Amino acid sequence: MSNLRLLNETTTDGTVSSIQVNDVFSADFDIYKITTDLSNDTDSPKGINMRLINSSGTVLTSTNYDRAISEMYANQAFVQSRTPNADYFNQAFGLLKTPPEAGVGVSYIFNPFSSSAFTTMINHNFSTWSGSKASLKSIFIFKELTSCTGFQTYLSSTNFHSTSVIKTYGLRID
Amino acid sequence: MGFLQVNKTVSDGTATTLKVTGIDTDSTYFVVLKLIQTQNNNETINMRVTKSGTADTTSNYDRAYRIFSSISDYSFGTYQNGSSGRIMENVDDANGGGNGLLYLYDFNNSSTYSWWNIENVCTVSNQSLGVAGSGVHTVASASDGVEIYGTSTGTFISGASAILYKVI
Repeated sequence: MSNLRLLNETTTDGTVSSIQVNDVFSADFDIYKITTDLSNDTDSPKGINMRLINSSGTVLTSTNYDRAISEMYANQAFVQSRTPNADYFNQAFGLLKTPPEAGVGVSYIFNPFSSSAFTTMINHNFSTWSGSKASLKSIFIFKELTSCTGFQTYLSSTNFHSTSVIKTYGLRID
Repeated sequence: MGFLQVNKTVSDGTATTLKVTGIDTDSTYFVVLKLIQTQNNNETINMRVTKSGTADTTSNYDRAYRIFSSISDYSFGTYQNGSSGRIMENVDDANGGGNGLLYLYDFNNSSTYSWWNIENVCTVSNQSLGVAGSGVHTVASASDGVEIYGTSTGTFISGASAILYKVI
């Protein structure tokens, strides 16, 4: 039996700009795999952002989010995107637009439930939006010793398309 | 795709190496590195392949990867013919250190080199740092696992772990 366990699958009805995946991080797992296939409902391209949620259900907005992304474009020169001390993970799951364009990828999150280690994440996705096509390779660290039980992904204005889906797995250590 | 656990090593707070073995098929294998932190600030973490359970220290390790930083331009990490392969550039002595993944290819094949892909993210005292790239041990013989260690001979904190999975 695989040590990878599906914990949550979240879809949307196309009317929300924010998706919360609650109560997926626990003491049962230290490492999580998240797959994302996300589009939006209008023709405006957006970065797919992320914040963590603590055990009280509060979305954490402190300025402790670091990121470093290598944007490897098919249609232009590569770009480095980095931000220390932001209040969210900018482009955590890539960028998106309306179908058939999307941001599709996989992330691994380490130690989100721990209150003695930072929450860290690596992501690799391919994003297409408005003629741009890029493979994004990314690292993220939430520099707080806060036990987190879930995460929020959100767009700055438009809504997620109804075809969007997020799957969260726990990687069991026996 | 799934992962079937093969083996794990968890530091009790005194370990200076973390070794996982048990590769005995031609499948791809996957290593999770968790809480890779020692008592040394700015510890660099290297790896070696194991042959019949013993780390190979011959000078046959090559690597090429991209180094990501939250505060400065990204750089390249390259080296040929080292006596080990670097996998984490710098880990802090607090807050969980480094975490990451290794995909292992052709380890069980005695007629090819042993290859690995590296992805990790590390807490450093002044920044967030990560690596994405690959390494190889250029000896055509079977390897049965990996061993990691700090280049400043640091002692891994309690809970520092290497977990070996077979990709299924």
